[in-house]
Amino acid sequence: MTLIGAEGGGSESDSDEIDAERAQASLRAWEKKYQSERAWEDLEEDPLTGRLRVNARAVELRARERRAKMASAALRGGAAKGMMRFAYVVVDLSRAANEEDFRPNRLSVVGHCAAAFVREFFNQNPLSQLGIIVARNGVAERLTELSGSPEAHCAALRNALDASGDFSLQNTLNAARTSLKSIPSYGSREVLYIMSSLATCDPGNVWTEIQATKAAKVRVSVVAVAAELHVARRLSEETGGTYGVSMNADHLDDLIMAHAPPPPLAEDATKSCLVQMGFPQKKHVSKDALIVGTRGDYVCPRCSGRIDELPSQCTVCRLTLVSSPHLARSYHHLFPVPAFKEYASRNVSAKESGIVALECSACLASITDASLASECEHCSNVFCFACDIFIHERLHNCPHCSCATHVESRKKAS
Amino acid sequence: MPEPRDDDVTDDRSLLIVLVETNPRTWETSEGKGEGTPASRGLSSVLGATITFLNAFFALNQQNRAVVVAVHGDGCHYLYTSPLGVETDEDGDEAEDARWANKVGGLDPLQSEAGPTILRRLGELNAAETGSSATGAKRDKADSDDGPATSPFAGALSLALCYCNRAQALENAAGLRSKPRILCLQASQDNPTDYIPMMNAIFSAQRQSIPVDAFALGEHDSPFMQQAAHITRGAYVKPTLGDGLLQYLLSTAVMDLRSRAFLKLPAARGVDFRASCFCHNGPSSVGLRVLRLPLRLLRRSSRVRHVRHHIRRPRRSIIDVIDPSSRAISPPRPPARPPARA
Repeated sequence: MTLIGAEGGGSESDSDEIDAERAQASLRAWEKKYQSERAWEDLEEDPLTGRLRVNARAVELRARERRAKMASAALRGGAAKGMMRFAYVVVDLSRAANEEDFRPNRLSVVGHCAAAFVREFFNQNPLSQLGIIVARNGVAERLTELSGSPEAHCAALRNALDASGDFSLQNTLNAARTSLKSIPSYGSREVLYIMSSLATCDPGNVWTEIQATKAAKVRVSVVAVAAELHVARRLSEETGGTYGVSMNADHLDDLIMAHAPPPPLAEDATKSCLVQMGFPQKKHVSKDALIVGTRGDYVCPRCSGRIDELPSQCTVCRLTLVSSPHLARSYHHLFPVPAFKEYASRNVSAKESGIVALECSACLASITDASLASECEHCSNVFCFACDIFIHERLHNCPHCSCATHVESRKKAS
Repeated sequence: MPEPRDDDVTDDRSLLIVLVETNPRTWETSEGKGEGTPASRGLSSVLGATITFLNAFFALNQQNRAVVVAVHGDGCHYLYTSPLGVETDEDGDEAEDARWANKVGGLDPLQSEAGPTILRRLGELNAAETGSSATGAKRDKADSDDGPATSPFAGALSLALCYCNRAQALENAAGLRSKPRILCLQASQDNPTDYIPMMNAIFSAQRQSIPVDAFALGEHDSPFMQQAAHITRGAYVKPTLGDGLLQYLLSTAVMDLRSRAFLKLPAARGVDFRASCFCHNGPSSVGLRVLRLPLRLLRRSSRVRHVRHHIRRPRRSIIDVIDPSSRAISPPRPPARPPARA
């Protein structure tokens, strides 16, 4: 009897256990995504201070993976780049932005990311223009018109960081669309939403506005701070943009920054045309010179008129004038440095023997961990990890290849 | 005048990177050097001035660091690097005393080695070069035929920026402020094919806020260096008195960036902002930008064929600058013409 009872009890507890396991397994389903990350293993104790710190090597390896992924994505896109972009950033300043799930709150994190995005946008797209629209109290407020000055945008945004009321998708979309309507056909029209709200409060039917936006060839991308919203996803899908939901502040930053490089160009979105422009030289003008009109430092190459600032139009002959460094800022999109290949994969035996003392060919740092070193495919020079990143993300030149192309071009010329 | 700061008691540590042109092809000819320019007095006088200048730079601050890069014909080579190690107190007093016992002429012994090291490394470089080119005498002859000699300054700037990046990372980790700057001593003319790498390097220097000081030693102005100095807020100097190079260097480039605010630096007379034509590698002042085509600059003399070629075969980009003189493609006319003179 006791045995049976014990058996019965045993089977019951077994089934309980199975249920619990199942429940745990289903709980783990979403965790599985993070299992591979094992964030705690990156922590290590600093031998000097005893504080916990993030293991630099693990972070570097992950950064490298992420970069490789981004580079391959960029290659896959194979898209036209270097275009003139006309973009509006819509910052959601409804009451949802006061939530404190990000530290200190969403508002400050979003404000910080948006300002960083504006600067990066102009770094990557020097000839483009950008404007900011804020959404609060159910209306869309055009904070800055389309213009090319990052500092003006950042200052305006800084002063406007104050959240209240509802978010209106229709109103903001309408504000952006009407402003982008007058953009010449060679520019791409874009809107980027940074959206904290989980609801939209509209005066009419938001779907008609979405269709109108689509018809106006405005590309709308949405970065959601909180969670996915059906209407926002449909909006981005309809207009050919991207949709992303952030997991944490870093991820939000990544998602927003992903919109800084020029997006792939739709075939029919813009058409080619020729724009004549001049590159004025800067010449000092003596105090005694007799000048009619403005007394600028720049000289128009066609009519020798004086101009105050660049970029602008010549006041005399209406030639579009730009500074050539301004144009040159986007060259690195057109001639990117090819990704370096991993050094260790080819020289494992050398690494194991540990005899070779490696030195970075750019900064002369000794490379202690050969698995992080990389090698340029063209000039076969070895670079340390820091230089690898620096060269690809900021410098956009391989130092030794630029010497080598120099020599080659001279040979070709001869 | 800048306002005095709290930390005025401690001088700024500087990291100075000197890019000096040592390309034998530049120095063996007298072409393009003109009369009375520093370049006309030869490499040894320029090197002498540079080394004296470096010693003065070291003497200003014990913690000043310098790097000398030779911009050679076949590439760029580090000639001298100051030890980058961040000073710690754990060295022990004995080691410290020993170092100071060896002090030469007010300089740290590690610093006073700069001059001899530079000359020795340069000698090694030249020996290696003559060794390798003994068989390639024919090539040398062919080389000397084509136009004025140029040197890879874009690569040298890139190298210097990589070094600055490393130095800054090291010093930031140690909680120190580091103020790198770059000094270019260029004797040859610009090579227009270097336009893109040069611009990339300049923008990178601007983002890191590293000023680039440029000395054009030869007869001609260097538009690239003018732009580099203009964009990074450095000084562009074209010495007119050849034997005064040292004086120009000392009065312009020796002070740290903070003290520099008190100096009246030579004003740039003008900056040549012309871009390079992609087809002909010549400077271009008026261009047509073709949207949806590669960002290219084709100068005035570009033939229609080129323009058509670029339009017919669009690459992966949007912006192109071509020459307007080709009427066949009918560039858009400006809306208003300058009024004709009566």
